[in-house]
Amino acid sequence: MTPAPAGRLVLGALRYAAMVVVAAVLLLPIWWILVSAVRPGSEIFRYASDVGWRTLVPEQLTLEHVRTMLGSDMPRAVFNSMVVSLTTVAAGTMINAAAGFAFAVFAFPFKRALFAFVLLTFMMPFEAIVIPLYTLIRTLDWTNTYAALIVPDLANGLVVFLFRQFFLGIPREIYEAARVDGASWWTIFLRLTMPLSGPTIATAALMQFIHQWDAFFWPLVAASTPELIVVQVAIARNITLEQANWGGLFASASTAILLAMIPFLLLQRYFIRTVTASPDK
Amino acid sequence: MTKIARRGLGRLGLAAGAAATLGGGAARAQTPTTLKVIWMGWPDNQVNPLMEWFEKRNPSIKLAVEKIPFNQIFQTIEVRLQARNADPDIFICDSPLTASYGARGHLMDLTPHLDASRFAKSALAASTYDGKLASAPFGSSMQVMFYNKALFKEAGVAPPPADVAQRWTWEKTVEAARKLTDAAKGQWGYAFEQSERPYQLLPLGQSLGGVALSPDGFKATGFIDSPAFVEAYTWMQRLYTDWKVSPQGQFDPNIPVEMFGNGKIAMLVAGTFSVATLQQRFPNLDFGVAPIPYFEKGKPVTPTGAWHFAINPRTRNQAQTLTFLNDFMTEELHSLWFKLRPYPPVLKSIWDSEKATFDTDMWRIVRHELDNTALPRPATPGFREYEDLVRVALRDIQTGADVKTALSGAAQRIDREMQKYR
Repeated sequence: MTPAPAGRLVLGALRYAAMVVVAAVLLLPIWWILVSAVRPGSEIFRYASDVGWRTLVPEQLTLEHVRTMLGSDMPRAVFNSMVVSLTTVAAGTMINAAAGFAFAVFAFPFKRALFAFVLLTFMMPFEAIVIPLYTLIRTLDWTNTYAALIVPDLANGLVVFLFRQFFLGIPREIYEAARVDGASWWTIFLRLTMPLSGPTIATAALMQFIHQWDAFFWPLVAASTPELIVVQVAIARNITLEQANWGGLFASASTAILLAMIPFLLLQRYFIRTVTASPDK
Repeated sequence: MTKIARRGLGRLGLAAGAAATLGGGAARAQTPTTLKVIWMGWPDNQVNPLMEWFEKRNPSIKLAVEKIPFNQIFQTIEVRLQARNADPDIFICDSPLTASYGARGHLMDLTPHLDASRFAKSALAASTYDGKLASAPFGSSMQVMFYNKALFKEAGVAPPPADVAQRWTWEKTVEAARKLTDAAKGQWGYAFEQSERPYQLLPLGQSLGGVALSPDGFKATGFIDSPAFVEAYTWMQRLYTDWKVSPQGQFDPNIPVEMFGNGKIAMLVAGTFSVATLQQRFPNLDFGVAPIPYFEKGKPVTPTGAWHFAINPRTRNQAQTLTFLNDFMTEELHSLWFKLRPYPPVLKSIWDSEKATFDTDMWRIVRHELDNTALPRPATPGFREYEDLVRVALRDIQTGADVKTALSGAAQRIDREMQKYR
């Protein structure tokens, strides 16, 4: 039975009210981080325990924390994280797409076993491999270099899986027709399948970007010189067991959040399309 | 990557060219040895002056200092040491981890290089493993009770005295805290700074005669779940669930200090270092200090232990690391360190050379506690596992778990973890 117009209106209003509540619960903590970056240090926690409008609306505004942040190692950290994240995205997308293409299109010995191995790599907790990985990086004499930050994250099992699933959905006849026309596999990969993979590339790029942007433990282990400081480490340096620079913490965390949002906003259309699309579409 | 390497080469070339132009003097000078040092991520202005002081004194030694944030420092050191090579040469060491590192061969024996008679008793105990001095004491720690004078006045409660002979009991503290709590204003009577950490909370059970771990350092069952700890943590749980005088779930140690500074907490047991935070950030706050309370039927026990540093036995620069050790144990450096970051000194002579600084209520209490009531955390190779599991139990207890079940569960898991060190 369809509800009467008045009933439908009430239902609609209730649904919107519920959505507003859920959105507020999700967004208010982020809002609090953002406003804490521009309120005086002594005010940050004044209204934190008795939550009210003053918790969310600052009485005074100051750019003191932002100025201090600009004079700290945060700008250097943003630069380093950008270099690391963008290089990983550029090189990683090509490597993982090529691997995904090989798993989807070619027949070769031990293909299933190798693919199972790829799946294993992203299910393995990082802590389990960190010591051998560090030993390897040291043997290569890569500690405290960009290579230490970038290379271990280029190949990503989950991204290989994503590309493979997408390439499996492309009809084999297309490849065969291209082969008959004399195209090499490289040409097919670069000129035929990659241009079709926009949404998958967008998803893979975002996943690799965020993974590198959020990197914290590995950079500390493998490249912790001040010159190679990355964003998450610069944020964490505002806080020790006995002392916290809350203003600096919130200013740098806000910067990191806002910068990480840019690629999401640019690519969100494609991102959603890949997540909702089934591989055999 | 290639680009960076090329840029690096270019810079090297430029430097070499400049050296040649300057008549070769710089080129002839000996290349300094670089020591890799992992240090706590304290603010730069509290670390750099120490390192600069050393480099100035030793032009042939350069220090490559990595300042690691507190949240990941132990895991980072763990990975680096487990790789079992010469990196780092020197690393900062939380004193209760001395036994853990020592048992796995990560510490150079410093006994021949340190004069034990110069150190405070508690610091020496925390740096000893297997009868040897395994880590170099660098700064001690102690806690006191801070109280907000205005809130006490407003509630008409007499504040706790600074005199250790008139130390409050926990029973009296709760009585006052109940009068000082005002839920409508979001104001709490009492809080622990580290409300889930064994560092601050083991002394509660120890005050009732409890022993936190077996003397051999391998057994927790019958110790951390003994009647003394069950009674102490039942009392602690009531602060949150029954009397409701303490804010629940504030596990980040910096937040209670902020709340105290903002007048939201009337009494706070916290590290001496908080005094600097409170004075700098809340200049209008009028606060006093008192010694840590004890249970009426028990005895006063206070926490201690702090930052030491250690030398990697696999270092290829032994002579230089020993120079670092000697210089970092001088009175001059400790005096500078104390001014940068006022941890209770580990060198006995600093207490005399900085007499004027120590002539305050807080430092008088600290000195008394370090000499009489301070108890370091248990010495065990499995301290990291012990601490992690006790922390989980303390969190659960704070939020209402059955005390005996939580402690016994933790004790059993600790015993299981300790097997690997036997």
